[in-house]
Amino acid sequence: MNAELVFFGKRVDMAQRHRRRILVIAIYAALAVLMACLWRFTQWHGSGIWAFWAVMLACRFFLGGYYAGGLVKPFSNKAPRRTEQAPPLLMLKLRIYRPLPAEGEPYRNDERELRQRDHAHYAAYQTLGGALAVVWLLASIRNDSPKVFDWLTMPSDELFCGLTMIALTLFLTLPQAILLWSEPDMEAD
Amino acid sequence: MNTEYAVGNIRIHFESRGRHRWFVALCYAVFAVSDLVWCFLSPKMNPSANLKEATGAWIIAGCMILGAALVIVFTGIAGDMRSRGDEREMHRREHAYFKAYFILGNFLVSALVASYFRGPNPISPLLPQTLQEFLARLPLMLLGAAGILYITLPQAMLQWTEPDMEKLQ
Repeated sequence: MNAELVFFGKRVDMAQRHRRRILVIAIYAALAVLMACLWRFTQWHGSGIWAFWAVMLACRFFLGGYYAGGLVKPFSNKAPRRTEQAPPLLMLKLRIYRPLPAEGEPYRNDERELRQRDHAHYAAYQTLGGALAVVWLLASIRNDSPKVFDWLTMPSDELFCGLTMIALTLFLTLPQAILLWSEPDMEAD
Repeated sequence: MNTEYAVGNIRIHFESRGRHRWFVALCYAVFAVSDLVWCFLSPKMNPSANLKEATGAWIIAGCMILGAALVIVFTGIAGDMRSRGDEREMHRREHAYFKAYFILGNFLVSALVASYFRGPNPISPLLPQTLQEFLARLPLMLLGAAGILYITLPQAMLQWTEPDMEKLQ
């Protein structure tokens, strides 16, 4: 795990555990607010993709793990793909480009980090299973007896879509969040 | 990981990797057939099923009983996944969960994409009626498959990758 976050060219020290925990809470709060707004104004009709992109950006800039960038090193343990071409001007202006890889760049997880990665997935797997069970139960009830949802103010399709989006968000972010939450204070790089 | 499974006096040996793999393949074949049977023969899932209701119910019940029996044997061979074994076992188990996590998530993404066809969309009206009905059932099918995978996939990965074991004396 990296002890420093580079965000729009600014370096933020994330060596302390409480800072990482605040970041995790802020990310989930922001995603929750975004999803609530999308439902309030569009009922997720064609706008679910925005929530998906928000999760992708959170992974790309803050969390890492499944994507290069962010605090958690790539789970795949492979170097991020780079090209020899210069990054686009917009990325240079926003300072979100990544320089060409230096020799010995620390993208690889060591033995301890691999163990932590596997353990975080083990913990996240249980939560994802719970979320899947809720979604499956809802889909089954909707299929067998749709009248059960008559008392709801929202159609069951919207509820299904919302719960699936929440499960998808957990799938993409939970292992990284567990790692960031549980890692003790680090020494700053 | 257990090397044999006992049903009464009958002992089924699972020392070799080949047997483990055959068993995993058999289980998933049965699970896939059960999922399809449930989706196509259940009158609630498929109101236009042609079979007589009792016949369909018997087929579904048979598949479910066979599937449940296989899950019991499956988990019996894999052992208790929550128990704290030795260092190697825990490492293998958690790595299996790491691999299974991504596959399970892909099923979730597929269910979300498939649910698009349930609501009003410009593609479904262009498709034949049978395909439309299939697409309407697809999210639930995928979620059912994801549920089965959730229970069995880490064990399956352990069984698939476990090398030949020594026979118990």
